[in-house]
Amino acid sequence: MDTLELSLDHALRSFRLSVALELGRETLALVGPSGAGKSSVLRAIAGLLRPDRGRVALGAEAWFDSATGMHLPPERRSVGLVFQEYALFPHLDVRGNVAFGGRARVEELLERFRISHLAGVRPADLSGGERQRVALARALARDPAVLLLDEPLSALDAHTRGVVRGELAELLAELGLPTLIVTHDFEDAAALADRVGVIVEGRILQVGAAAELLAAPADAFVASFTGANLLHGIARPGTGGLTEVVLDTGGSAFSTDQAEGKVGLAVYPWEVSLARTAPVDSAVNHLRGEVRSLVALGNRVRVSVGPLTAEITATSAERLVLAEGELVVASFKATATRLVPLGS
Amino acid sequence: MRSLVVVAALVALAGCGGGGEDDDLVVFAASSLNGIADEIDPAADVVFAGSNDLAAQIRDGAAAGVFLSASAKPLEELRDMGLVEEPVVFATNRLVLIVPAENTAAVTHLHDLTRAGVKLVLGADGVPIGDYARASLELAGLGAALENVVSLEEDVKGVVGKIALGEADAGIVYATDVHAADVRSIPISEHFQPKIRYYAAIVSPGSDGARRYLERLLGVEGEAALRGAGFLAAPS
Amino acid sequence: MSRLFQLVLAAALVATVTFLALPVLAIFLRVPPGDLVAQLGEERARNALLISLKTSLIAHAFILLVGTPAAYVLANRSFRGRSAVVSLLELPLVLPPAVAGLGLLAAFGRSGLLGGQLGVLGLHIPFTQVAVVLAVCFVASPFYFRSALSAFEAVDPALLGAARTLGAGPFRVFRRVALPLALPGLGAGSTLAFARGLGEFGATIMFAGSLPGRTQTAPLAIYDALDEEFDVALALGALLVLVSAALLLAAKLVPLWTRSNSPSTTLSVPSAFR
Repeated sequence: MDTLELSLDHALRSFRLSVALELGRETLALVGPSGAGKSSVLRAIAGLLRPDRGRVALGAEAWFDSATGMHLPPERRSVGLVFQEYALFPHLDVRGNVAFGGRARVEELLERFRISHLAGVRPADLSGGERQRVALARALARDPAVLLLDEPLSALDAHTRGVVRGELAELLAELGLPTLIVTHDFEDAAALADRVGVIVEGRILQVGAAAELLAAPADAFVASFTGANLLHGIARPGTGGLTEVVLDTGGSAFSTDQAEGKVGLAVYPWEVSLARTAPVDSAVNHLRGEVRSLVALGNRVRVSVGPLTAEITATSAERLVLAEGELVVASFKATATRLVPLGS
Repeated sequence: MRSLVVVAALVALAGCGGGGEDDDLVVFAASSLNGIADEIDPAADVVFAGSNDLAAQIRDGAAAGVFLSASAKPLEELRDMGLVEEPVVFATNRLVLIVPAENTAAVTHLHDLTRAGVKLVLGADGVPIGDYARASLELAGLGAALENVVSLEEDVKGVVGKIALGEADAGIVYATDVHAADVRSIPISEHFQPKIRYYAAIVSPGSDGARRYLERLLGVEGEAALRGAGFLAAPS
Repeated sequence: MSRLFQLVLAAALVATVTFLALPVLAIFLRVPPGDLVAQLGEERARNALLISLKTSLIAHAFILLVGTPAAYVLANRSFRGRSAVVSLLELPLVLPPAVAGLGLLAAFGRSGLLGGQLGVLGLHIPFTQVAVVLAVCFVASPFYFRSALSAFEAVDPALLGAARTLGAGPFRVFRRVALPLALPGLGAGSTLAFARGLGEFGATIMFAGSLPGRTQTAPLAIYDALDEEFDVALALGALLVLVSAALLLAAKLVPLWTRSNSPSTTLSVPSAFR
C-alpha cells in the first residue's frame, strides 16, 4: 500500500488553505470548526478541486503537481469519496448506486454491508444508517487506494450515530486502507482515527494521536476543541515550584506546567470532581460555584459549575443530590492541568 | 355580474352603426386609397386594409358606413347578401412593376419576370392587387412568370415591404402605391393593364353622413384628391 | 365587506374563464364536425399541415440537439458575463415576432450580414422552408432553453462530483446522472417550445414569405383563408386548437409521470431520521 502525500496552498474565500500531510496505511482524521477548509482538502485529493499550488501523489504516481501543470481528473484517480449527505443517486436503486462505479464487486459489497435485502430500494426510502452503508459500499466498488470520508456521522441522529461509529471503526480496521476522515467532532475523530489533525482557518495546528492532543495540546484552540475547560488568567510563579494562575473569573488555580503572563489553563471535564464541601485531599485546586446546568449523557452527567464543566457518573450525581442553583466545590489536581498560550 | 355589464356594453357598441353624424362615420377603404379616403372627410374614421379583409369584416357585421373597394368582387357578394347598396365606380388605377432600388436582378420589363431565378412577389388569391397582377400577366401571355412567385402577400403593403427590404426581385402593385424610397417603379404597357375599377358602396342602412361622403367622393373634391394621388378618373 | 370581496373574486374568475374559453369554444361551434374533417381534406389545408409538421419537427430536433448541451454547460459553469449570455438566449421570448423576422432578414437575407457569404455558397435562405425552420427555431428555442437551464441547475452538484469520483468522465456524468434527473424539466420545456413553434406566424411571414405548398404553414394558411374561405380557416384553427391542447396536457403530465420514477433533487435527510 502506497503512502498518500499531500501539500497544498489554495486561496479560499476568507483565508488561505495551507496544509501538508502524509497518509500511510492508517486512518487520519482532520477536525476543525466548519469553514476551516477540511472539505476542500478532501476535494483536492479527489480531484474535484484544483489547488493554486501544491502536489498530491500516491506513492510514485502524481495526481496533481502545480510545478508540472499536471492535474489528473477525478475519474482517473483511485479514490473512494463518501459525501457529507451521501449524494446517493435518487433515480437509481441501491444496487444501481453501488454498481455505478463498476459491477464486479456489487454482490460482495451488498453482502458485506448487510444491504442485500435493500438492493431494489430507492435512496429516498432508506434510513440514515442504511444510506451511509450504501454510500460506503458505493465508494468501495472501484477498489480505491484511498478512502475519503466527509463528516461520515453528522447526518445521523444521536442514537444511530453511536452504533454506526462503532461499526465504522471496525470496518476501517478491516479495510486497512489509507483513510482520511473530516469531522467537526473530536470524539468521533478520537474513536475512528489513529491520528488526529486539528485544522483551523486553513492551517493545521497539531497532528498526533488523540491521546497526545489531549495530554499536550499545542494551543488554546486545540485544547478547547478537544473538549477541555479553558480558564483564562495571568500566570506567575507560585509556591512549591507550581505556577499560580490568577483567573479572570476570580480566584486562583495551580498548575505543574511552567508559564508566565497571559495563559489558558486547560483541564478536562473528567478530571474535575464535585463535592458539597472542599475535600481534604491531594487536589490543590478547589473552586466554589453554583450549579448552572446538568446534562445527562447515558451513565454520565455533565455538570456546569461556574466557569467549569465537570463530568461525573450519574450515580454520583444522584448521591450528591445535585440540582441547579446549589453551591458545590469543583476540585482538580495541579498535575491534571495544562497551560497553553493564548492569542491568535 | 361584472362580466355581464362588459358583454352588454360590447353588444351595444356593435349594434350601433349605420345612422350617425359625420363624426361617427366609419369608412372602410382599400389600402391603396391611403391619403385620399381620409382627405374626403377628415372627421370620418377611416380604416385601411385589403379590400377582401374589409369585405369579410362587413359580412361579420362591422359598423362601417361606406366601403371603398379596389375591385368589384368583394362588393358583389355583399350586394347579393343585401348588406350594401348598389356599388358605384369612382376611380381607376394602373399597375406598375416595382423593383428594389439596386435592382441587382436587372428587371426592366414585364417579360423579365419569366427569367429563371427571378424572385417575384404578388398579392394572394382573392386579394384585388393579386388578381389584377395575374390578369395583367395573362394579358401579356406571361403566365410562366407565376413559377417565379416566392410569396403571396395579403395586401399591397406586404408586396412593397418585400421589395423595399431587397429580399425579392420584383412585384406588381398599383402605380399610386409607390412611395417608398428603396423602391423603383417600371411602367407597364397600356396593353397589359387589366380593367381596374374602384367601387364605392354605402353599407345598408345608409346614413346621411355616408351619402354626403359618397357625394363628395364622386364630386369635385374627390376628383381632385384622386388625380393628385395619381389615380385616374373612372371611365363613364 | 368580506362577502363583497369574495363576490368580486368569484366574478373575476368567471370573467377570466369566460373570456379565455369563449373564442376557443366559438371556433368549434361555428363549423359542424363533418365539415371540419371535409375541409381538412382540401389540398391547401393538407399542404399547410404537412409543411407545419415538417418544419416544426426539424426545427425542434435542432432545438433539442443544440439547446440541451448549451443549457448543461451554462448550468454548470460560472464565468464573467454568464448572466448576459443567459439573457441573450432568452431574448427572443420578449421580442415581437415581426421584429424577430426583421432580425432574421437582417442576418440571413440577401443584403443581410451573412447574405453575401451565403449567396457565394449558393445558399439563399429567404422564401424557403429553411427560412421557416430558422424562424421557428429562433422564436421557440428560448422556451426550451429556459426550462432546460433550470432543470440542469436543479441537479445537485454533489451528485455530479460523486459520479466523477466513481470513474465517470464528463460525458458519462451527463448521460447517466444529469440527463435522467433533468428529464422532467426538459420534457416540459420541449412541449412548450414545440407548441410555440407550431403557432409561429410573424417571423415566418416576414422571413419566409407565404407560398402555398412551399412555405405556407398552418397559421399562415389560416390568415390567407380568412377572407375567402372562412370554413377552411376555421377547420385549420380548430385543428391547431386540438393540437395545442394536447401539447399543453402533455406538458403537464410528462413531469408528473417522470417525477414519480426519479426525483430531480438530491435527498436531504428527513427530520424523522435525525
